Amino acid sequence: MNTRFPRPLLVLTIALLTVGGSAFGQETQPPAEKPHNPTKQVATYSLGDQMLSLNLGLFVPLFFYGGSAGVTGTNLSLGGTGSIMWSSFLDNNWALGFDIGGAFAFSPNARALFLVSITPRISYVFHNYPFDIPIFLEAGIDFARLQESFKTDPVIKPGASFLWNYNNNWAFGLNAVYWWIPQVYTGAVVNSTETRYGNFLDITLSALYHF
Amino acid sequence: MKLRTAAALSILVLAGIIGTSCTQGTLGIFASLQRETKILDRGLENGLTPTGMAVSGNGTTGYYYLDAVSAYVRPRNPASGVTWARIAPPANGMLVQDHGIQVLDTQTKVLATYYTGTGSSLSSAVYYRTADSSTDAGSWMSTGLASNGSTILSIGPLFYIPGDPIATAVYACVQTAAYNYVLYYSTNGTSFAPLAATTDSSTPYIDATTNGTYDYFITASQVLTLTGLATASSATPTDAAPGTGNAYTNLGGIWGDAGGTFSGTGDLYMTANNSILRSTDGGSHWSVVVASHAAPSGGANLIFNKIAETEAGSYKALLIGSTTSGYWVLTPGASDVTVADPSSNYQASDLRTSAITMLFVDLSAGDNATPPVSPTGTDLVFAGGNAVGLWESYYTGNIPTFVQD
Repeated sequence: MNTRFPRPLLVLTIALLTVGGSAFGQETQPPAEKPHNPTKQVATYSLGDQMLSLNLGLFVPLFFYGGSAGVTGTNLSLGGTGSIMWSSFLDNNWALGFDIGGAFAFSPNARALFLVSITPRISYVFHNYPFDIPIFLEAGIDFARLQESFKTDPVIKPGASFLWNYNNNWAFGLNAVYWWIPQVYTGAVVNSTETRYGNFLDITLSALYHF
Repeated sequence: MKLRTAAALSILVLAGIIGTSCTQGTLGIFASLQRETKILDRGLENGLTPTGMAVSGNGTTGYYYLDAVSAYVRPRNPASGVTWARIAPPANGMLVQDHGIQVLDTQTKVLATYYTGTGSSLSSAVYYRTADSSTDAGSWMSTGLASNGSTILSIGPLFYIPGDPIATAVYACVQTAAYNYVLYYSTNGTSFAPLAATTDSSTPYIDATTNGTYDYFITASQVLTLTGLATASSATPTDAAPGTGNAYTNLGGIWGDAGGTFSGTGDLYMTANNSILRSTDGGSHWSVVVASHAAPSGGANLIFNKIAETEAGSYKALLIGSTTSGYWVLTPGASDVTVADPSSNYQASDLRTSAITMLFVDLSAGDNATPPVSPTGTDLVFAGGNAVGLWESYYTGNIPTFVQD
């Protein structure tokens, strides 16, 4: 596959690989076969390599935007979140996959807000053995429920992870993902003045499996 | 293959975003959360089911009385306290559910129907006491109206109609035989007598009002028009059938616009299953104002029950209770109910998803309140729900703030 890297990312990747020495993975080269040219990129992953991760952590409601009040607090408590992510590498750095995540938080009167998102995901992974640093963007659909109210909305979730490779298969680390949910009402069922843009942050611990 | 799968799933989700617009509910989810504030709880047991209220005196000396199996009392002036105190029953009994307590203000009397026993040994009686804040059992006195196993089998709701043009009285629904109920009345607050008018009904009376000219009592299927203490007529409304399958078999509440504050002097409003009806000719004919309204959770239509009116400043509305989803608002001239108090924390209350068991409005509460709780002229709306306690809110015409008693 002929993949084009953005030049800055390519430079950064090469630099990280240079500092970190050899990368690891299914196609890690034996030490004896390490390239002598330190500027040469080492292919840690290749097309078809996959990863599956389980993520659990905190859900931080940040603010709502919209309506006559402009930017306001969410009135929500600190919540919980969890997700399962699957991705397949296109090459050493780029991966395409899916994330299914859920989150909850409570209102001042203990009403529970539930959010479930299903998002395709594209990632760019920086390698610096024994660390991987994926940055990613997810965009998909979100299901929001509050008591009997229910709404499907788009969701955009940019984020980044910091992963430590325990061995060839397992990696553990930390994720930070921003949730932007434009909850737009057209007036057909609910008045359009009820439109709000939700902003949340999830911070999770991650266990990731390469296969 | 995996990439094709990923791409296909991506397209599927994106198509879902574009093609799916599923909205359920009446308010924005994020917007509702944004407006929410912590509901103040004043300490009355939250699992109570309030089924009736009454008020005595004026803003300085008066009291509220609550029927929630037991009787409760608290000052009408919030500056004197907002804590309810339980009134001990006269004979270890329980208040009649629904309109179990009333006040005859001209006589400074509280009247209450208590029953004791169970099943075939059930007995009931109406008691009275001075309308004050005392809570002892010994202050209850017998009105003499009590079940006797023969001519009076049981006694049910009590009715007091503010501005009653027929008589300043408390009325009692009395069962005189199987499937036969009549009305008694008391003008002195200490004894009852049967109405001279024929008031026989096969089912109990459940609500009463006036349109300024006559009194109206309803059962589940009939409207009794009381034109005098000795004259009455009863009829089953037959016109303006409120929709297929919604025959007049489930009347819930009635309210009369005696002062013309809502739509027109003398208009009557009545709930009938899924519908809200209006009569502009004293109950001779009824028309449909609201044919039906879907429940917010989807599925069946709302079944309406209680009616009360609030007229805080320029804001006038009928509050319409439902059997599943709190109360709703009908504004003058509207042909459908709307969400109640969308900007208040009523939306976060248990009441909103409960069966409404009581609606009571103190139209002069604003005169009693101590600023800044409420400016003069505001109403104090009390609402009770099934096992969710008593709630109250000052209506100022803006955003009401709900408090759980």
